[in-house]
Order: sequence, then C-alpha cells, then structure tokens
Amino acid sequence: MQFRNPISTGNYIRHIRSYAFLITMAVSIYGAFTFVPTPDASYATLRFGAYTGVYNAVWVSHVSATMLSVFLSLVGFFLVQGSIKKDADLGIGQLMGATVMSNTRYLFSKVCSNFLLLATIAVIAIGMSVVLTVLYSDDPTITLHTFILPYLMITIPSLFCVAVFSIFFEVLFFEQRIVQYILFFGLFLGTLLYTPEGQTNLLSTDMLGVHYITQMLEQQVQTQLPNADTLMNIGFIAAIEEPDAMISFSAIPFSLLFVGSRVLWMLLCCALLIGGSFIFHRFSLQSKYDENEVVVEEDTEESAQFGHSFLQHRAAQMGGLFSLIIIELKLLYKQNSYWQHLAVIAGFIFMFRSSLDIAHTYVLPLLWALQLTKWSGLVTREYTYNNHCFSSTAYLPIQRVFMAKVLAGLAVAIGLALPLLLRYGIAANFEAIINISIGGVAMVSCAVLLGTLTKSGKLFEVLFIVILYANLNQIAFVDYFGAMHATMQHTIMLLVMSVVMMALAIYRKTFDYE
Amino acid sequence: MNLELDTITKKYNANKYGVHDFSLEINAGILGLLGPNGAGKSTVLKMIATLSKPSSGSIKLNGKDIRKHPNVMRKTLGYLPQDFGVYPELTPPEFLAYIGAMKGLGGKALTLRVDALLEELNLSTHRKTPLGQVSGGMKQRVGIAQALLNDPEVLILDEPTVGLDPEERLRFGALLSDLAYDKIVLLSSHIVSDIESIADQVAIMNQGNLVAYGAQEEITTLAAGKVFETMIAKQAVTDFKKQHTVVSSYRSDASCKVRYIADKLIENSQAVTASLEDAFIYLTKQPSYAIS
Ligand SMILES: Nc1ncnc2c1ncn2[C@@H]1O[C@H](COP(=O)(O)OP(=O)(O)O)[C@@H](O)[C@H]1O
Ligand SMILES: [Mg+2]
Repeated sequence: MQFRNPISTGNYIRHIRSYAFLITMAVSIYGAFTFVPTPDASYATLRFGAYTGVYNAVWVSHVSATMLSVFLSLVGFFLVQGSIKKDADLGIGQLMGATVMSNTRYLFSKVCSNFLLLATIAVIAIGMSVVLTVLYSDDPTITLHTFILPYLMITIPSLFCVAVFSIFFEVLFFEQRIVQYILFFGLFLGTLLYTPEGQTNLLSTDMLGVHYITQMLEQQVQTQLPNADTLMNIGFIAAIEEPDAMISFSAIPFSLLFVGSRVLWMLLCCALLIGGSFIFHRFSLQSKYDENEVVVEEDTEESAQFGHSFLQHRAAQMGGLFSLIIIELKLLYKQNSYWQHLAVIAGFIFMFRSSLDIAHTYVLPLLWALQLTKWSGLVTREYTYNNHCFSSTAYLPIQRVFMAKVLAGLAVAIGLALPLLLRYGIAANFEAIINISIGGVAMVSCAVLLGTLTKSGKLFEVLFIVILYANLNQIAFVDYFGAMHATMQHTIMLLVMSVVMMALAIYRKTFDYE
Repeated sequence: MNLELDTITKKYNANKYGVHDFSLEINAGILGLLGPNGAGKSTVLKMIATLSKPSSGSIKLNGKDIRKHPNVMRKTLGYLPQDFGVYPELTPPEFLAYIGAMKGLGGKALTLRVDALLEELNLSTHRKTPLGQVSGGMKQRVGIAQALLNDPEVLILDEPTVGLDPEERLRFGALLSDLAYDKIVLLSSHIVSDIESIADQVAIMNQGNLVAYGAQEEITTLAAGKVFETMIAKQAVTDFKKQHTVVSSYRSDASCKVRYIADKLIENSQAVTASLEDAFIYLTKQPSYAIS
C-alpha cells in the first residue's frame, strides 16, 4: 500500500504544476460559464422543443453536470492520456518495474492520479456553477446536497471510467497513441449516441450517464406541457429569434437502478483494468531488443590503431534550410507505423473518389487528425526525448532549425490535402485551395505556439480533438479549412490569427535560447 | 583559439548559486574540469555552450562576447551534454545526419564523415540498429560522434567517459589528444583518473567556485607534504574515516592500509608522494582547510 500514494500524488503534482494545467483550469472555468447559459445569453445547451429551464440551482446543477460529463470526458481523456509512456520516458517506470509493486497496484495508482486530476477540474467547474447560480438566479437558495448530487451520480463516475480507459488503452496499445485516441473517440461517440431510449436498465450502455437525466427532465416537461413539441436538443444551440419558454424544474430523483448502473460501469472498468494488469509490459520494453543486440564489437587489435580517418572528411558547411527541411520530413515519416501509411493511402483514395463536398468536410479533417501527433510533436518532441540541447546549440537555431520544423509541418499538412487540392485545381476553385492552405497554416501555427508555450503536445491535441468534434458536427465557427463556404472575412481573420500565433511562438522561442 | 571566462556567476534563485565568480582563460589544448557532483561543472559548460546565459560576467571567444553573439560560438561548437535523449526510431547514421543538418552540414562530405566517425567510435556494426535498442555506452558514443561532426574548434564534453569501458576510454583519450593541438577541448568529470590521463590543464571546482587551476604537476604540489599512509586495524577504519580525510584504503587480512590527508603526521604513518587524486580530495573534501 505504501507505494500507491507517492505515485499518484507525484503524478498529480507534476500535472498541477505544469503550465498546461493552468490553461486547462482557465478553460474549465470558462467551460462552466458557457455550459449553462445565463438568462441573457443568446444560445442554449439543453432545450426541449422551445423550452429551457428557469435559471435556478436545480437547472444549473443538472445541466452543468450533464455537460461536464460529456465534455470533460472527451477533453479529459486527451489531457490525461499517456502517463505510462511518460513514466517510461523518464525512467521512473523501469524503477517501478524493479520493485515488488504489483501491476494491478501500479495501474490503479495511475488511474487514481488521472481521476484526481479530472476531478480537480470538475470541482473547479462546480465551484464556478455555484458562483453563477448565486449571481444570476432569482432564487439564489442552494440546497447543497441536491446541487451536488447530479455531479456525484453523473459526472464523477464518468470521469472515473475515462481515467480507467486512459490507462487501459495505453496498456493495450502502448506505442500507438493514435490508436488509443481513435478507440476512445469511438467509445465516447458510441456510448453517447447508441444508448436506446426508454427504461433505464442496470446494464446500461450509457457510460456518461446523461441519458437518464435528460429523460427525466424531458418527462417533467411532458407532464407540465402535455401537448407541446418537446424534442430534446443537447449541445451548443444557436440563438433562436423568440426567447425560450421557461419551465421550472424540480430536482430529479436518482433511482436505485440508475445508481446501480453507474456503479456497475465503474466495477466493469475496474475489472478491465485488472484484466489489463495481466498483459501490462511492466516496462520490460528493453528486453525484447536484447535478443537482437548481437554484440559484435570490433576486433581489439584493430581498435588499437588510431587512424582518425574522419579527420580527413571535413563536412561542407552548407547552412541550407532546404536540406534541414528534407531531413525533418524524413524524421516525421519515420514516426509513422505501417498501418498509418495504409491509413494515409486509404484517405487519399477517399479524397479522390468521394464527392468534393464530403472529401473537404470530412475526409480532410479526419486525415489530418490521423497525423495529429506529427504537429503536436513538431516542436515538443525534442523536449519529450530530452535532446533540445542539440537544437539550441545548433547554428542559428530559430532561423534554421525552428523554421525548418515549421515548414516541414506545413509541408505535411499540404501534402495530406494534395488530392483534394488537385481536384479543386482542376475545377479551378482557387478560393478553396487558398482556404485549405490557410487552414494548414493556422493549424501548424497553433501547434507550434501551444508547443513552445507548454513544451508538450497535449494542449494542442486536446484542442484539435474538440475542434474536430465540432467540425464533424458542422459548426461553421470552427471551420478553419473553409469547408462550410467560409467568407473572405473568415479567411482573413484566420490568416491574421496564424501570423500572430507564429509571431508569439517565435518570440517565446527566443527566450529558450537565452 | 582563446576562450575567456571573466567572473561569471550563475544564480539559480535568490540564494542558490550554480557558479560563483568564475574566471578562466583557455587556449588550445585539453582542459579537464574536475569536481564532485554538484560542484557546478555542467553549469559552466552549459554557459560556454550557449545553452544558458550567465547572470553576470562575460564569456569571450577570440575576443567576441558570446552572450551577445551566441552564433559565433555555435558555429564552431561541438557539445556533448551530460544527459541527453535520442529519437528511438532513428539509427546512428540517421541521427548523426539529423544533428549534422542542424549544425548546417550536408552533402556527400557529411555522409563520409558520419561513416568515418561511426568507424572511429566503434559503432559501425550497429549501423542499422534503431537507437531505442542500443546500450547506454553505445548511446554515449553516438553522443561523442555528434559533437565531432562539424570539426569543432571548441569541443565541450560533459562527463564523456560515463558508460565507456576501459578499452573505449583509452581510445577516446587518444582521439582527444590527436584532435586538441589547435583546438580547445573542455571535458568534465568527477573521476580523477579520467582526467589524469587526458588533460593538459586541470581546473578543480567545488561548490560553485574554482579552487585550483594549472598544469597537473602544479595542482599536485598543492597537496605535497600532506599525504600519509598508515596501517590500522580493520575495526578502526570507520572511526579513522570520521576523524581524518581518507583518500583510499586497501584491506588485507586483519589490517587496512589507509591513505589520508592531514596537516601533520599521525603516529605510525609515513609521508608519501602526492598524486592528483590526493590534491583533488585535499581541495574539495576538506572544508577546514583554507585554500589560497
Ligand atoms: N536548473 C537548476 N536550477 C536550480 N539549481 C540548479 C539547476 N541546475 C543545477 N543546479 C544546482 O547547481 C549546482 C551545480 O550543478 P551542476 O552544474 O549540475 O553540477 P555538476 O555538473 O558539477 O555535478 C548544484 O547544486 C545543482 O543543484
Ligand atoms: Mg554535471
């Protein structure tokens, strides 16, 4: 037992102290603010036909618990994922591997710290909700236990499941981050969309626990307004002309069956983790190489002569940016696994064969998403692998080394869009070509800025996934690659933003070299 | 070649100095920087390598302040950090080509040089092994090779012999001697024997300060007349170590031969000729001695 706490707390503290966490905290406060629109807001997040709730403690806690369960699960996974890899990179894992600690205990301690982290964010958001209720509600009385209950029943179990899956998928697919991302994205969408309507079962597919609460709220609407159109709508729903009709909701009761289904999900997750502990590599990653490592050292007699033939070969000082870009591209290429090559080829075929609209709206962002780690790692991999000292002592580190990374990243973005660009070229749609190119520039600038600020690719990845989710839901506001008939204004704004982000990144980078 | 460190200080925070008022002038040749762990060796070397900037003082290469013009240094620098990582998916030649490109090298000549360096550092049998799979010593040799890629005029090696076996150390020493005649080579270590066989000049650091600087013989004379040997009973060793500064002890059957440093002779001891090791211990392990 004595091992569990130091490991979880160590992990937890490492995160809490990071710059990325500060940003996450700011974002979660902002999230809490937007999840339950204030009475004067021009959008809704949960609506039944034309009806939303009266802004009171019940409405705020129920809606924000629901929204938090959905969004923090999605974002949170990407935030906490990779903690085993981190241990391996830092060598801590190998130390652990040599102790008596069992796999199960290690994995659970990892889950604990990830869960703790997500719970911290949730607590901040809950605090924010309390403040909002007091500020905006006509009836600012808060009964603490009815306020907290939805979070306890819905949000917290979801976060626990997410924490488990973040570890479980890493146990299964240690090296392949993208596979883990895809699996979780699938699980998330699957449990969110698939769960059938109707009676709650003990064996519910609803991992996020949001169906029960929305159904119960919907029932209240239906009893109060038996004849109205009360079709439920969840997400960020844009302004409608006439103000929403208000309904005063009462706290929903959490049935034993529902509570049971939440507990069952958590137990299921624990069981998964225990299963995972049987196949966990326990950081013996090196051992699989030892067999190949045939140590054929040079003949010692030969090594006694000191010829230093390398002194005769003086490498030419070229200083060219181009050769550096080529070698950066090679490095990016080598990071691909076999199936990632296949995925790119498949993506190219889809881009050629599907309709222009589909290719632009769906295939392009998905193909970019598959190569997400290339951009997030562009300026951060040297920190992950602790060899930034080489680039910072290189000749002209910003003008050459940093720029080469940026341009290589851009080349990958454009390269992946090439079939689409070709088709637009043939169709003489140059506006679309410009939009896609600027989209690539914006994405790379964003990756580079967040990477230089946080020295980690995490933040960019989280942001990218959230935007991807919005892209797939056709939300025009975040359409950075011009698939939804972007206006000129939109394009120019994007370009300006890219330039600003890139300038900030370069500005920040100069401090690294001081 | 001339490198001048003028009263450089590195302050990490309000009351933590990495290096304090450190001055040194170096011309071509091999300078060994010797000091116990935490003495500030890496801190000094990082500042010379333009990885960090001194809080005060100046570093000049051939008269040019590298704080203002870091690229003057970077252009001719070879630097082996104390610890560094590699990209696991690259093989040694690929990694070297990558670092070479960062240094602004390229073309056929780079390929030839990489080949020759791999040969020289005994890495040619592992040309195709990804770096994620090589041993620690091999990674260290790749690190040394990368520092030599651009024919550096200033070569900075932070604890380079870590992970090398005795044979490789010999080879490495000879390699440095051949390189150093018109270049500045700076290497650090906390092990005297590593420096002893290689360095022309030695600088000894302790707790962020330079405590001695000169040729090996000059440094050794600082401990002259203060080194003794005596035989004591095995059980008495622990107590003896508490009371005196012990350099080394050799156990035989019942007794133990102890080499120690003291201002004056203790009974049953005999004075012996001081070595660099003795001087190092004398200068760094004895806070009570005023060092002039
Ligand atoms: N980034 C840092 N922040 C604060 N203190 C540091 C930092 N780097 C080194 N130090 C401190 O400076 C002193 C000198 O460290 P270092 O130069 O690494 O010693 P050496 O290389 O001789 O072992 C040590 O006491 C160390 O704790
Ligand atoms: Mg050091």
